[in-house]
Amino acid sequence: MFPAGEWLPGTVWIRSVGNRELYIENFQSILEYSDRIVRLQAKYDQLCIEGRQLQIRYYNREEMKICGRIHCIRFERCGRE
Amino acid sequence: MNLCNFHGISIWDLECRQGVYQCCMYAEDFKLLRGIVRKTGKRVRIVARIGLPFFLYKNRRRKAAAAGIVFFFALLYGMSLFVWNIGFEGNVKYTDQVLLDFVESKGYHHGMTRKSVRCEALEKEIRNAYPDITWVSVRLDGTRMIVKVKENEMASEAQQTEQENTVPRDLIAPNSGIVRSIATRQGTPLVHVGDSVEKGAVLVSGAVEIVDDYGAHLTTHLVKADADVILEYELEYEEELSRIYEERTVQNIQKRPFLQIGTAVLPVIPFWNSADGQAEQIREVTQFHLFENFYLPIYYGSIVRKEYTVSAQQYTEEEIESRARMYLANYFEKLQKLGVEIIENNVRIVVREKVCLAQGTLLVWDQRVETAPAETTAKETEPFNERN
Repeated sequence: MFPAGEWLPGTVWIRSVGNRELYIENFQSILEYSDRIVRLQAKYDQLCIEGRQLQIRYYNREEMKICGRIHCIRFERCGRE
Repeated sequence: MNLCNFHGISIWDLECRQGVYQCCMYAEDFKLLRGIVRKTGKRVRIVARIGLPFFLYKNRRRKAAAAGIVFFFALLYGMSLFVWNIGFEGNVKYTDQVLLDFVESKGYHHGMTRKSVRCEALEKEIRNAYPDITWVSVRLDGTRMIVKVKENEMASEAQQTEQENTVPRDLIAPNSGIVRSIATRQGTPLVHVGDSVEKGAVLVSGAVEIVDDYGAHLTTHLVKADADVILEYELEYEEELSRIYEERTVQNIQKRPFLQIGTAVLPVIPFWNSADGQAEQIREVTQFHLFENFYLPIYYGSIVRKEYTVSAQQYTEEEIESRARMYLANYFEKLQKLGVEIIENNVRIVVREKVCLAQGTLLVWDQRVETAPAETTAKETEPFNERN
């Protein structure tokens, strides 16, 4: 799952299939969810996904999958490093 | 959602619609929601219950439907205990019907139980009854009994050819005629070109006389006579064709589906019969099967009924003459396939009022010969061995 290379433990992993599907791993919790925005708390950042008709296909401790029309994926610093 | 995740509750198909969150979760996980709902102060409402336990509880009063489902599966299981289809594979010389008749004569038929099928015994019976079948396999697959055979014509022909190679023989004339050509490879020719021979006369003898330097007879060897002999003779040809024939005029075609369970044919929409004329019915049958080898005694298909009237017609002179020529041409083709060459055609076609007569003779050159065991009247005889 995790490609080889240097990475910090706790880094959030994102895989996308076009702008329709998004697989996210290594996140901590959901801060905000609506059909236009999904905000996730990772260890060091906050991940903000904006789009339309966003749905969470599945959601468990390991991974979550977001479907819909994804417009942008944004990382916001939250001061944890 | 975070509390659900923390407690290990799996959620999927989560949607947000106008501030209301809708998702799917397992029924046992829903029981854990009570504490979470109380803690967060939110309200939870079940929109739908999906799954077999909910379906059974919802239809708990429909006992007849449940009994019907149980009966259906019980019937399906019961049907699977019998053989409903007997199939044959690999047969070329022996048709399916011939093999089926034999198998039925040994007590194996449609509708018998699978337990009573003795595969090895049937294989042995088939091998004993049909020497040409060198390999047989009988197996049960679903509700099918599949009989796979392997016919070995090449081995029997090779065996026959090998036997023929060792048996001394004479070549005899199949018909009375004149010898037009003779080329002997092995044996003693008894006729020359131009000789008239009767039917059954020996053309090439398998007895080869061995003489000494003074011409005295020493011994006689018997060999398999081999030669190319062409006999010329006349073949008589006669064919009488009637100019009157029955013409069928189809008046009406009706097609109806049909359903048969076991031997009981369920009534379908009846055909309406016409007042006059005759009719023929053709039935196309397909046996119902669930999977590749799970056949059931349910047959369906269609019945096509053709009603027609019969009227007597007469061929014109040209038509009947053309038919007579076609018959003659077919006869020529048959002769040529047998190795008979037609030299002269003296067949005349005469058209009369009600019949057409094709009569005459054909002068042919026939390369065929018949064989007979070699005979000799010599004192010392032994089969010829090339190594001596």
